Amino acid sequence: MIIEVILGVLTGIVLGLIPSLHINFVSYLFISFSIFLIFPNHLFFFLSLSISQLITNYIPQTFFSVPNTENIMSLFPLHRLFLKQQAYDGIFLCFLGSFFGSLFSILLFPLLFLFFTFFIGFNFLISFAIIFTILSFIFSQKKLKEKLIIFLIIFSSGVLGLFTLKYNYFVKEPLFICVMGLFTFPLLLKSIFEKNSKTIYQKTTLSILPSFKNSSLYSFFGSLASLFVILVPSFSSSLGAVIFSRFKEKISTYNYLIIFSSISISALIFSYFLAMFFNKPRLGYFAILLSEKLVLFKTDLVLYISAIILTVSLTILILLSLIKDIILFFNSQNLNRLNLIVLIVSFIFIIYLSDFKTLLVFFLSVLIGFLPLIFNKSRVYLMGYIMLPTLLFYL
Amino acid sequence: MDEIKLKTFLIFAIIISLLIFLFYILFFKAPVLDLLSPDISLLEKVVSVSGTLKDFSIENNNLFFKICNFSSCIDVVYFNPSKTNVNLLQNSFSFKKEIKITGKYTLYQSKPEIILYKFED
Repeated sequence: MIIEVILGVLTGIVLGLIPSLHINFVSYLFISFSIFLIFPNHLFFFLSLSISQLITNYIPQTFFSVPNTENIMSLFPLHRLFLKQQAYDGIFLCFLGSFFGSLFSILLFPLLFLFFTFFIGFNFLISFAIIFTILSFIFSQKKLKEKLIIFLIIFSSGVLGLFTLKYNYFVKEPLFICVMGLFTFPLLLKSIFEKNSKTIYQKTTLSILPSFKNSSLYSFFGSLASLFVILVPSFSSSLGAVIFSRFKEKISTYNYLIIFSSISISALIFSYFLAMFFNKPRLGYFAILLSEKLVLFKTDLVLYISAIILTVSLTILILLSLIKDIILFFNSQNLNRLNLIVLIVSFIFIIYLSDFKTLLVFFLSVLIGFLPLIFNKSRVYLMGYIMLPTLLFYL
Repeated sequence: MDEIKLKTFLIFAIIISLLIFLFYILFFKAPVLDLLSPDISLLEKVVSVSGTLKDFSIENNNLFFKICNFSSCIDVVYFNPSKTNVNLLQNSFSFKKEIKITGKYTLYQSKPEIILYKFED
């Protein structure tokens, strides 16, 4: 098991540094090429790969604004810190949230087991939470014109979500394609073609020192929020983070990052737990793994806990040793050129996954993704893409 | 909480996880399933069985065989085995070597079988 975990960690770190490479795509590739068959304990390999890829992904998210569909909400505060030369702080906070979040998620296993066994009817609460979130987005604006703009962004991204997620007939990999179109490409294109763009040199020392109490408290909130998120079908950790953000608006950017990274890692760990005990895959690639009959045993729970702690700790330890060199590398590069390479590579992935109709949907999502940039509004309103289909699912 | 404190926590966590793994390996032993008179209370639990292999076949990346002990046999299925493990089991089958398997004792279409998890000579 130890060897599979170490290999999984190293593979996850390499794959996690590649922007726009999604874990669903990795699982398709691995199964297609029977790469899992090399490892006797392939489930431990994939467990550690998925965890380390999620944690490492915060680095390309920060520098290239390429979101992972499981942690879209981390994108906005990370980008904000990047613009303030505090990329290292942002990534460090994500590491804190991931580490403490993983520990708290393990401690919350018994509660998850109880909740899933006895209280599966949270669905009715979700509709209210989503409606509250959408209305608070719109009515938090002062002027009517701004309210209409927010409504337009939420409505257009929501309709896109309805026709690609809920009533999807022809779009391949809609979540990945549309997330890239809504969140990544507009920002990358803007940064490449901006006339007065300049290199933003990132610091390699911490500007803020979060306290142990703060880090553990907000990580615990994140794990707790993730507990409710994971119980509900079709309810992603990103959507849970959006709703949480509306309930606790006065949290600083730093604490947001700890919460969001804790939500993401906890959701992933809880998914393995649910797959083990209830045969319920909550994330896309789990369905793939379970269909391939990569069997999970309840008696392996102790081994899985050990593997999770080892993976998270080892990944963060390795990344902490590398992160300063990575930042220095980015500081010495022309980020516009790197953004262009990321754009081209991402577009190649998209073409590989798409047919003509899917490409049209992709271009439409890019146009919608430009709306917040044109009107100078937060890109969080584009989460209407996930909120509206989920709302209709529960109504 | 700076980098040094976080690294201390991480190293501590790595040591704890390795200790958990070590204790699991040392102390967890699956109950032995008697093929002559199988204990029904062990259904859906992880058990170990020793014996020789029969009726060895591979279909769609899954391995199917019987493990036999004093003329009593039980079906075994091994999902997505690695090539190394397939070769090792094939060797045991060819040379009629006794091996010990650990797996989940379950019912498939009302027939008892074991979903193999690991094996050893």
